Amino acid sequence: MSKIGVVMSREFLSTVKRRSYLIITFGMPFFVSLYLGLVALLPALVMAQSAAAKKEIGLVDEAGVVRQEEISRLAAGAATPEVQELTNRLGSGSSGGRMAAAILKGVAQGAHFRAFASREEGLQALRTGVIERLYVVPKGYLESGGVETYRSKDASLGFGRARASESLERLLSRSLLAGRVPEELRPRIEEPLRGAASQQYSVAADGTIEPLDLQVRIARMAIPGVFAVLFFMSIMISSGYLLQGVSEEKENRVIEVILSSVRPDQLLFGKLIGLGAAGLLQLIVWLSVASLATSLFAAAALAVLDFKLFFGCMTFFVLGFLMLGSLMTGSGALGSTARESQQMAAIWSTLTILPPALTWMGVLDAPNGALARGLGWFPLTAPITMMLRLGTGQVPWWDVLVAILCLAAGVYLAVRVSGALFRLGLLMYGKRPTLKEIARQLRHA
Amino acid sequence: MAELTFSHLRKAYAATVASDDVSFEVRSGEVFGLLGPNGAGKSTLIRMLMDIIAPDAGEILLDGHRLGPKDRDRIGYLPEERGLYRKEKVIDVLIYFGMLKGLVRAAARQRALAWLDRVDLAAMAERRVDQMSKGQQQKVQIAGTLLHDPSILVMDEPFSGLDPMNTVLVRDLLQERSRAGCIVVLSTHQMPLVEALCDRVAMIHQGRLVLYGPLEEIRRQDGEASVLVEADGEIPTLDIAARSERQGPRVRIFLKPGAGPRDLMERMLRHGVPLQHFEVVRTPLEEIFVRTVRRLDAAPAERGALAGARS
Repeated sequence: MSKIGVVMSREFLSTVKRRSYLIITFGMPFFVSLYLGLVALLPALVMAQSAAAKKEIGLVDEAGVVRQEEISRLAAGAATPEVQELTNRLGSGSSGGRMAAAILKGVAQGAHFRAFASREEGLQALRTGVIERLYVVPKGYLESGGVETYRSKDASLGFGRARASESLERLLSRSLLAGRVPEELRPRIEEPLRGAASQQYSVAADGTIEPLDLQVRIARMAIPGVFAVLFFMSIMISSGYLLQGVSEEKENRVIEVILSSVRPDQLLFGKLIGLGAAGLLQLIVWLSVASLATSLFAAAALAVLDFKLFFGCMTFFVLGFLMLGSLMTGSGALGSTARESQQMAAIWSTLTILPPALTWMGVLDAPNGALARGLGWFPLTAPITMMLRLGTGQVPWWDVLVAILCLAAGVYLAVRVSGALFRLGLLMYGKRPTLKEIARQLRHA
Repeated sequence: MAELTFSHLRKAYAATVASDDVSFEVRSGEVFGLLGPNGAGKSTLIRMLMDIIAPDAGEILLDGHRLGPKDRDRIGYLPEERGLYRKEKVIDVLIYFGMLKGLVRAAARQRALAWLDRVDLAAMAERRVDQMSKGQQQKVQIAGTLLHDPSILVMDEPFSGLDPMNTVLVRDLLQERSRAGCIVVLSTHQMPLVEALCDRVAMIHQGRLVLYGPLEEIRRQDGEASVLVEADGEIPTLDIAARSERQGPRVRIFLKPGAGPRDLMERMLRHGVPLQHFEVVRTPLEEIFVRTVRRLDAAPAERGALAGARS
């Protein structure tokens, strides 16, 4: 086994066997599930309670425009076929899905209007709590379009109010249209554009017209999305282990024995791969347990369909991890305490993540524009930017190749520089090297 | 016979010159002492030998070729700042050290167990390092250094933390390796052990080589001739005595340059001194060490001039 391999397997095995690693890896999903469960359960309970306590909306039609059959239609339910289908699908799934279906059903439930013959009757019902809101459509409504709203002092100002006024609008427009326009036109007047029945097409430069499948486009973006999230999390988790390991080895003085057997860059590389693998394993456990695996498997399934995209993302993931990991470890080794090491290492993660986080919309809008290309070719910002660009499927192959070459050069430089910093930092116990010493060491590298 | 040559090595850290044109040779089959006060530059020399730091100038040769990364596995190194993975089992730490030196896992395990047996720690193979005493940890560290059967052995203060029994054990190990043809470099401040173990020594002071050669020759050239005498009655002041020092009932008489113990004996007899005890003192290395350092600190210009071609 090569020396890198020896360091790699040792780092991996000693990390995954640690009690703290096992607790975090397997305990975290449990606690997160518990937390999310509580967070989701409480609003659901509140909503269920408010649905149970839902009162009717009072209506006094002085203008004589509201039709009774429309009041009944509205009470029967306002859900569109899409919402109904989604509710059914969610309801047949996991317990989380059933909870979501119940909430959705509550939201889509129709509004119950109760007509009163006079304003006094309506106000009396409001005072006694039979209804929570009273709408009066006055005599001059057709001319002015104004309605009067009465509510009790403790009525909610939020969601319920918005929903009630929306329902009233629907009730009025339906009542006004009834009998005035042909029945078959009414759905189109109520909903002139129906997403489910609409279709989009893309026109290529050579004139080829292809249906634009939005779901596939979104799924295509899921691969780079999943990779970008994994990249970010891997870096954060693995660099934590790396820095912890390095400061431990510095602290217990074992580093000098190790450095008498392996070169600093071999040690750095071995640690990076071994701990990266441990970090990745942790992520996979979390994702699987947290049932986020679905999106991962979907991405994997898509990868079979779009191997080029998957392979491209994987390349940028691996190269990016090696570059950033080695930079973080190299500069982290200069710290005299674990906290200082973390701070030094954080500079690199900020430089990698911040620019794409601020410009991602611009990059997606013009994946071959100057901004996207610049960030894609600059090694530090390349991993995330290129993942985003690849997702658009519009980047020419030579552009991707240039980005890979630039990033590979960045990895080489990062490993050399970090090896030198690592060597300098590891042999300095309890003190921080001066800028002069760092510059000198970098010149040697 | 293998030979390790340090040739005109120079290494500076900012304003401090840790190695200043240092040249000497170490041969296989000998235990070579690398001496010097704290901060003299010994560790820098050793780190350059281990390729942990690079020299600014000069080179280290092994049998005429420049020592390179491929020679790492031939070296066993026990650093002064030693350490083990405290939370891990002894056997696992040793296997890792062995594999880093190019052994396969099975061989590393087998040798680790054999070496633990050799240093009387066979029963502790499965114990965690932090559950062992300091002396036991020290022996584990030594086992780790010898595990891969190195042909060059560099030991920085190998006896620190050891009781007399274990000191003898480690001393025997070093002599055994030396007899087996290994190049053994020993850096220590324990002068009696240097005298007992080393054939030749080099002394570094403020980055420069100030003493170098066979121990006996250094003792002859740099040691002050002295005799320990005891007499029934007063010992007269003699013209060949530079100074004298009372040591209990006896007096140690330091002779002037050019005078020998025989001259002192003649004068004593001529003066009719009733001698009870007459012992020629072999100048302890510690004395030469201390005197050399003091002299150089007092007269820095003299530095380097002492290092002759006595190899």
